[in-house]
Amino acid sequence: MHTSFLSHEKGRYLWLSLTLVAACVAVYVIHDPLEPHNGGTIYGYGLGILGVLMILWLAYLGRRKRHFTSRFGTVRGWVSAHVYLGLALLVIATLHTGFQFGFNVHTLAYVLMCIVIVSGCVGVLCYRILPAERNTLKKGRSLDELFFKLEDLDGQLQRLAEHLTPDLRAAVLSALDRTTVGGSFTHQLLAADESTVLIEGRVVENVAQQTIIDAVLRRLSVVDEEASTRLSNLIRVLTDRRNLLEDIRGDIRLHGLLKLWLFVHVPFTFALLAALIAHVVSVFFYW
Amino acid sequence: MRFLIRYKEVRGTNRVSHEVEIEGSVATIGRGTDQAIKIADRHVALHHGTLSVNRSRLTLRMESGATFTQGDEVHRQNELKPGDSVLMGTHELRYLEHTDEDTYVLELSIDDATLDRFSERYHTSLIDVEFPVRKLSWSFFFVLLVMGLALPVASFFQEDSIIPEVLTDVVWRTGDLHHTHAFMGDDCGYCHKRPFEQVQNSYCIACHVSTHHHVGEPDLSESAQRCGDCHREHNEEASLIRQDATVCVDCHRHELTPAGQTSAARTIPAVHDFMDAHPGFQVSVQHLVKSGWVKHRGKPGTDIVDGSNLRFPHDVHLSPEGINSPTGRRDLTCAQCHVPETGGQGMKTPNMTEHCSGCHELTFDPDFPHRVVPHGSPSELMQLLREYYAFQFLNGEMSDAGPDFERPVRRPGVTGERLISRLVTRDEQTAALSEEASDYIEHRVEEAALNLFERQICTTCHDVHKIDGPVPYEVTPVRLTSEWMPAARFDHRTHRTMDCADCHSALASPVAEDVLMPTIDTCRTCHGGVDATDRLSSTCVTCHGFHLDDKPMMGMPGQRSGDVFRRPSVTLP
Repeated sequence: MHTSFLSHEKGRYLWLSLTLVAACVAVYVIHDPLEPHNGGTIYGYGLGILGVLMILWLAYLGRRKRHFTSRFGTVRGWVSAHVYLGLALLVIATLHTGFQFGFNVHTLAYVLMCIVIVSGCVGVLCYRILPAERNTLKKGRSLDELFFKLEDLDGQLQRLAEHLTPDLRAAVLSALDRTTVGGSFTHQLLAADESTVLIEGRVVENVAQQTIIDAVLRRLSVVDEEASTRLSNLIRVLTDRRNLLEDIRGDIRLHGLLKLWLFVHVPFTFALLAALIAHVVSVFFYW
Repeated sequence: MRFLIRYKEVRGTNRVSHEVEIEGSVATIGRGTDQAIKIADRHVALHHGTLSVNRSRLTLRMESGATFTQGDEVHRQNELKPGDSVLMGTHELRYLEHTDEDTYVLELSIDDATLDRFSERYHTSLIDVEFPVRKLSWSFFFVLLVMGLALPVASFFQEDSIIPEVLTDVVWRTGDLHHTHAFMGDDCGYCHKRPFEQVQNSYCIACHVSTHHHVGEPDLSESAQRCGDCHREHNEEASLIRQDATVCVDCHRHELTPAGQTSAARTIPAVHDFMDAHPGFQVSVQHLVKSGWVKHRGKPGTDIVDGSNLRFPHDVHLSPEGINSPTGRRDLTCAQCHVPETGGQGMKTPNMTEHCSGCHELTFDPDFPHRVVPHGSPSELMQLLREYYAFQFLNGEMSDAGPDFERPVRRPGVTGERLISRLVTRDEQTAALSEEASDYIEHRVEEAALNLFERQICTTCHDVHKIDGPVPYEVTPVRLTSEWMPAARFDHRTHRTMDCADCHSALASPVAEDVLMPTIDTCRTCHGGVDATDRLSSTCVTCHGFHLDDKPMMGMPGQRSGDVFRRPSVTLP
């Protein structure tokens, strides 16, 4: 029975984080420092120490998830704690600032932390929503199965195309050959279709296979009944193939989105670590 | 112009071929879907080569650093003749004989073994595109470490740094300075002189040299309480001076007896909140005893009296029916005698000359009621009277002259008829005349002094008694209290919307000994404790200071008080 990382151990880390946040907020409200709230009060130092330890532990997930032989908790448990304590960190760090912000390395560290946390929230949303969408899209099949299916359809079309006039046959075969899926970073994320077809001596775009389908449709309108049955068949298979291609591109896109947030989350974590070091050292350098 | 391409593929056991026509005199070859001749082999570049016809000559040119083999030769570019065959990778391109002049027929035998399966032709995962996560991460890390730490540290140790200002320790600034410290600009070194060292007291005292301590015998070592423990910079809502009560209440929640003080009157009662736990106000009054003036403290409304030694009834002077004056009936107000100092904090001490002499004329001679004496000491007045009556005698203006007698004016150089030289000769009459003068003067002086000191004038306000000696009268010294509560700061200006009578019940006071200062209850009408919401929230520093003027100065140990203007030891920009 699958348990989501969010409900791991009945949401143990959710309750832990909520308790921690409630306690910190309560102390903040009750504590009346002798100056405006800031990171340099007694409580400010306390929250700062807690925050630093949390950031280091949260960053350590990158190591823990690759440490396959570790028996120190499960990776899912670690991810669950990572998500909830990461959210708690947003509150704890904000209290630590005493809501004093400026154009300096200290607020930079805070902003970087917020970017990391927000990108993490995006990641959580992605992992909550996208896997189910992928499943729905592929109707329970794997991507490899889709490609096999595609090869199958391609074979059907090649056989069907043998009965066509040479020019149309060549066009159909070129449409098969010049179909694209995925591609560059942006092509994958936009599910872009860069397919082309060589028709009437020119390479033209064939987005959603529409150009070749239109070409066959035009031929359909001028042929006799037997040929038209074959052409109708051809169009049906071309359409099936088009739908399949859309599913493949959609899956590639969703798979990319599942990774995209990490390309922000991880680099900004390292940026945060550097800014954090600068923040802590500078605070004591100019104590 | 066109190309006719015959594709020949081996698929499984089938040999498959088809023909395509490509219009134009240029046909691109490559793996890309935009190429005229497409070969789905990953070893083939996206744009691998170009076939072009120029003046009926067919040329094959390779792109992207690729080459082709023709026979035993490797070419990047070469002209093809009909019948020529070239190998691009493992794919063979053969140039066939023309069927017509404008159609170039080429046969492309594709080696199926090297063709990619469809699923392998394109990047289908972001992992395939190798987004440089690690490179980006480490780049961010080192760039920020340099900009946020290394460069500012370097700028700290370098006097004239080449580092641009925006990358110096300016990036470490946690908040703006209080506007009074704004002259420091971006120079953190005013206060932060050594790395990892808290701001030392001596750095503050470099400018604030005349700040006083709070206690009489302070610990002046650096390990004592730091200025920075109470005065915090770089906060939003610049709050350099602590307004909270905690800084005071931490010690003053207990009863305190300052060192060296044994009198119970010097014990400072416990206090922690103005509304809930603040001792009743005490006033400081003075009394003259044998050894001099001594101060007493007591609460208004008790039996404490002021020892000014002045006779003054407020109720008479402030009577609603007015008061008699030489010019008729007058209504007096508080403001006619009690004038604020410049700035309005305190009140100037009333004095005879400015505030009383308008009504209280110091006349002494009934025959000349418009003559007054100045408000001076008895010895001065006695001398003045003697001189007055001596002059009167010498000029023959005796007491029977009458009130309208006008003395002739004596002009310089003009001799008058009654010059003393005419009355007194050098020989016989000198002794007899001096005795007459002396008798007259003494008599008149005694009479005038009696009027002044005993009967009418001085005794109105002063306590006068006769003594033996050349000056037969003595006036008990008067000292008006100006600082009733010296341990507190009260600003009349901020209370100017109030009426004097709201705090000082002078209208009903018949004697000057009355202490007309308010009790704490009067102030609690408007002022509440620190957390008050229905009154003006008031903390300790609302009325009291921490740095006390009668304690030693922080920057000049051993010196207690006095105005000290000293140039700060820092150079202002």
